[in-house]
Amino acid sequence: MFRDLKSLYLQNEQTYPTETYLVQRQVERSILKIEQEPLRGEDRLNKEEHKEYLHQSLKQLPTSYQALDASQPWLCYWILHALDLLEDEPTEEEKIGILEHLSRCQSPNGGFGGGYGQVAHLATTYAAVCALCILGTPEAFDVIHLDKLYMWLLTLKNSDGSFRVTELGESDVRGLYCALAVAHICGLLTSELVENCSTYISRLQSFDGGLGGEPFNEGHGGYSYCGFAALCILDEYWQQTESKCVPHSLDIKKLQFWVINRQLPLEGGFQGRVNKLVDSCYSFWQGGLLTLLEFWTRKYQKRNTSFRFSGEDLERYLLRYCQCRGGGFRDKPGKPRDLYHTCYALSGLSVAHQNLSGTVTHQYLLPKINALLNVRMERFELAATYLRNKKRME
Amino acid sequence: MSQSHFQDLDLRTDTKALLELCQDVIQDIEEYIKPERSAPIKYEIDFLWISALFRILLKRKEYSERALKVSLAAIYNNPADYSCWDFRRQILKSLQQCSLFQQELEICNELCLQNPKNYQIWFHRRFLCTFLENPLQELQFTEITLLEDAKNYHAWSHRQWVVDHFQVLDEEAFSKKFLEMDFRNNSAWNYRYFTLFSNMRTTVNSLELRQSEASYAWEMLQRSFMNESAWYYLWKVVNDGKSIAASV
Repeated sequence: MFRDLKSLYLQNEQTYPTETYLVQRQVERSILKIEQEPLRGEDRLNKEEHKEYLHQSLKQLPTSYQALDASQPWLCYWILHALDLLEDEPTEEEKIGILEHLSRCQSPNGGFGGGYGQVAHLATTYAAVCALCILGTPEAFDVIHLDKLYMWLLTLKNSDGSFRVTELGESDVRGLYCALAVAHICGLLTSELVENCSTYISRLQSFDGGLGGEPFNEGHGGYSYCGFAALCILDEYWQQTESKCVPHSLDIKKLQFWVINRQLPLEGGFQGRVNKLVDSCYSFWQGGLLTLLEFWTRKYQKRNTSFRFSGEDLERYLLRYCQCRGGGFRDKPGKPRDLYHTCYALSGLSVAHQNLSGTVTHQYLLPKINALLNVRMERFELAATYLRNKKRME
Repeated sequence: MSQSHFQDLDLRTDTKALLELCQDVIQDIEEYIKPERSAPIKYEIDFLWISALFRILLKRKEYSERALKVSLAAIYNNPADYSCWDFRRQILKSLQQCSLFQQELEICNELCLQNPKNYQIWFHRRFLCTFLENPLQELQFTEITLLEDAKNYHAWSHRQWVVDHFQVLDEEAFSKKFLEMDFRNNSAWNYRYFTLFSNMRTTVNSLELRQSEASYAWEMLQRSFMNESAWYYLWKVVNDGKSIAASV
């Protein structure tokens, strides 16, 4: 059952207020305010409203989205994945358009950019490949120029095991994750591509146990997900080729301890870093990370992990405080909705549904995702089978 | 985009070249706004013109001052246009004019303050830094940004990179300053660990320093025991200390 939030609020009182403390209390009070609303109904996923918001977005986005003009494949993936989790999809006509659009984003030298004529970028490549996987047809999978993609990935590799996101761009763990995730589903993992990757990942663990974007950076949910998911992909590769665990020097227990403590008891959702605020997108980054850690410890440790998080609390955060009127999800109360948060809130909700203690029966659970790539399990299976076979034939 | 911006772009080379350019731009726009796409954005016309013009120059690999002006206009329209930033780096490398690098830094300062969480601008600073070799300026700039937002991940990361790249010492006071302002600031604790115990430091294996840092963390915990950052810091330096003592 849900704890008494008011008494939690009182318990959270501290001496010596600072900025961190004051903004945190502000968020807690905004949560309590919602709790006290007399007309608050039952926690319910407003499926139809979310679908409406997503379908509308698919048809047209306002001028303010010019700020995301270099992220067109992301917009595509956020919408398609969110619809997929709601067990909905674009029309057949829209699917053809989406396919052609993603085709135009592909660079003649391999990889996908943010739009037609833009330079290929690892993040937009990840988004485009995932979007094509969700479309799920051979025509969609055939859009990807596998050989050019592989050659392009190699050109981005640094000697320390990391990847640059573009030819002249920044290197951090996002680049590494996107490169390996794409290679994983397309069957492009080779010893050349994965060389030194686990060494780089091992250098990312911060003093607090989380992983940072670059060595010595602060532990952060997004980067921790990227780093550990990349390690899991490497591990699958090592299991296949060397029949052993990927060599690494991460303190897995410390990472687990860090991430489990990122779920905030009062809000129910996850924060991205120690002493920072809750945000619905971390429902996936941190929740997904916990899912991957659970698989890992089941594989490599004799006993079952004791680090299960509260799916009920996470669901409460998302459904009760983050759903917007008219559809879509927001970061936290007081913030506007957007497609990014809608995608990751729903992804986090799917993870939450796999972590319910079972005391409350759920009439409806979201479909299960493949936590390594954040697409539905079936989409991953179908795409991976097709693409990996194709690679072998070429 | 005002009329003067178009004049400034010096497109009045010769009529034939100008017509060719316009044709290429129109072709690009037509391709760019094809209705067969997901989530079409309601573009403003000048946004389309400038970004199309940029893409044409990019395709032609024109590394010129004109290309700098066009890509800058595109960046003002969309600071997250990473292709523009990459292109500018290519142009600066090929033109190799010192004055341009300084100018670029000023542009960066302006855009960075307006868009403090933009990846491209912060990475561009690193590029400029390697040419201008101006660590003090960069330390000053990150401090200004952090006084606005004491947990800006990019700013802390950039400062770490500058310190590492230019082997800057004496950074202990910086983290202390931010911890005095807010002893719950996890980024400041992280930076403190980096400045005292990262591989480049002579104190990387110092048992003594770890003991005094453990006292410091404990002192901060007296202010409030519900401060995870200080606990993780204490835990880390104590465990480090154990490993060091064991290896001796």
